[in-house]
Amino acid sequence: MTHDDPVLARLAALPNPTPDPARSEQVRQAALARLRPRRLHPAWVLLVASSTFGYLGGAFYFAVRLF
Amino acid sequence: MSSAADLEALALLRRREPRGFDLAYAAHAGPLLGFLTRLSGRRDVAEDLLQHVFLRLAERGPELARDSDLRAWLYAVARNAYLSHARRAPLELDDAALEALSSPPPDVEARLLLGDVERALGALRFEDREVLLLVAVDGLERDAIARLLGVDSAALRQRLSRARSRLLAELSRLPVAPFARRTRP
Repeated sequence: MTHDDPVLARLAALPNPTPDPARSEQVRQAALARLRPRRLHPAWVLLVASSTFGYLGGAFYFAVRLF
Repeated sequence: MSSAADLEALALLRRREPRGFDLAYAAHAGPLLGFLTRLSGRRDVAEDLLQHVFLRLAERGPELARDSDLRAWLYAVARNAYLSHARRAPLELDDAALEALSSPPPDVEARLLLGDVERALGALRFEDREVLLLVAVDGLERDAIARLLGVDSAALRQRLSRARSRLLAELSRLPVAPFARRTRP
């Protein structure tokens, strides 16, 4: 974007610093770790599966006893 | 409006590809670091806030809409990070950090001009400083700035005009000697 206003043009011309390379690499590694899709811990999978089967089993048992 | 590079970065981030992060970092880290250093007056604080901004990008980037304005989003996160930080601890300006922003100088005259602007900016209130810095950011649309600041376009114009006048007033009465250390609310 170009600024017609000389004051804004001067502000836009202010030089930007370069981030510290070592710090940038740290940030990159931390960011990539967050970016990677997280795998669900096996304990959670087991918990969800067992509670689902438990609920369905209970419902089936209840329905069978009705008749 | 988003640049083609920003749209590509967003598309890659949505697929959780590291290159999306790298593209965004390469395009925006320097300008954001300049923005945060001038806002906070401290290079070390600005580096911490920059890290926060890009870690937030890694966490939230995959959820951003494909046509989001990445630049505006990054500046909004940076501004909020600065405000949270400033609420926790009043910042003490580091004049050396502000002066260092203007180097290396293209020539003596330009160095004086840029150095003066840095010092005048540092002397302004936060509200004036942030609007001037945001408007000067290359590619950041006025509508996006108004949304970021939570004002309408008329209020933004008014705020910008006031900030501009105060910057000019500050420039005209700048002492030759470096500023004494100040505390910032």
